Amino acid sequence: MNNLKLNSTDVIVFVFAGVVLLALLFGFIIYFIYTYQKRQQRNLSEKNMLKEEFKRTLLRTQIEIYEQTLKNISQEIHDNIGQTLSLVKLNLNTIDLQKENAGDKIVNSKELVSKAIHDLRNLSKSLNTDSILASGLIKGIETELSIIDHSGNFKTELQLHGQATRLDPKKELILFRIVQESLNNIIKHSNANSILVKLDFTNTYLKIEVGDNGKGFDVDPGNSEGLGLRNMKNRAELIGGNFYIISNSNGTIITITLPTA
Amino acid sequence: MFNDFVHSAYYSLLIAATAVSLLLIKRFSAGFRFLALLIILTLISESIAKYVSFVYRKNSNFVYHVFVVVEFGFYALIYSRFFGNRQWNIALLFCFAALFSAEILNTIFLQALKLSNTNILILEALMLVCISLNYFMKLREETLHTPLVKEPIFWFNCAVLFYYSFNVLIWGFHSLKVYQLKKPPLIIYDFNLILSALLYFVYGGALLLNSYANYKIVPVDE
Repeated sequence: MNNLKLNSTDVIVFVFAGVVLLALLFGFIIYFIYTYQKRQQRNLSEKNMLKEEFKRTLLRTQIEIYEQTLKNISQEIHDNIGQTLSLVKLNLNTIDLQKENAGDKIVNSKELVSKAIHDLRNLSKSLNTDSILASGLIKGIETELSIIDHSGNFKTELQLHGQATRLDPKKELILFRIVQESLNNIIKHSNANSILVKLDFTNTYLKIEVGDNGKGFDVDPGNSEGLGLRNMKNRAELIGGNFYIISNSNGTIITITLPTA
Repeated sequence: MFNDFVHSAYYSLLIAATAVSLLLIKRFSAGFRFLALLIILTLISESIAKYVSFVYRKNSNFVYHVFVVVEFGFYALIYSRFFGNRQWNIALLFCFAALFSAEILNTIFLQALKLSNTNILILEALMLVCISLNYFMKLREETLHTPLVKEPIFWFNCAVLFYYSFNVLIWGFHSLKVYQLKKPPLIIYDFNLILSALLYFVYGGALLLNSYANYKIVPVDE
């Protein structure tokens, strides 16, 4: 009888301890699920915010590229094609068919019109996004350098290192526009006569260097040319890359690195 | 009668979990493959124990002396895959070595092969409770691609935490009564079997979830 009583007390103690333990374990699991969900929600909202921020930056960059493109078109038409056509007009206005040099002037005007057509074709090619996307970054840079080379004012060189691979087309386009803007800056401001573009493909990253032998400039972001450079830096960072400038009186080197793995 | 039902439920669920393990083992991820092997080994060890006690009419406790070390070894392998870092691999190896040494010392000095090795069962359960709590901490920091309730790792870890927490209580209570030279109440054995049955039910479910998750990511053209 005594043993039976002892056993029933043991059972009560055991069951009570079991219930307490079960409550503790359930409490822990509920707390875990609650904190986990809270953390997940926070992560999700942070991720969404980053996505939104990325979209906004992408849009801003696209607008900047668009504005830059319009500026380039305007400048190109004004400085080259406009000048050439004005010269043609001047030639045609001053032609006197009775004079001996009329034929020379006509030949000269024909050459100027051909040059204007050639310039227009180049302008169209370098602005056409589809053609750049189709031909790829290397071909695009090659074309740009060949146009600059044909102007006769610059000696250009393209060096390729490593096994060249195609990147995401959007990234290639942004990289191309950065290189294009760097080349425009060299043409306009550097007083250089030699341009070297290096593309270094490794298993993990792509490194692009655009260098010139010009007068260099102050890389302080506070100077007047800082905005364009900052935009190029922002664009490089937007696609996960880095952007550096080294400039002194012997020239400037712009470096862009982009992880590819 | 109730005891028979509990026994039948336990063995049915263990056999079902073993069948799932055998049939789907190729589809499991590395950690769950070790769990499948553990379940198969559990059925084998239980069968050996029953065979020895029913056919030879001999004490079968020696089977559990060996099996508890093997079982912890498998848990260590499972958690080393789940944690996936060097510190935890070392910690799990250290735990295994400690349990193995404790089992030898316990067999020599405290609970011989003929006795139930409850001291080691308690030690194993305590270690697994600590490991599973730590794994919950790790899980909290991770971003899973599926909802938590569809994650086999979550269910596996819950099962380990619940089962081995109760194991500490069951074998602790058992040992306390034995050391007081009193008979432990029968309810604890039934309760242990019910918990074991639930453990293999959850393990089987976790294995199915894992195989389903891996099946989904197999490309259609394969």
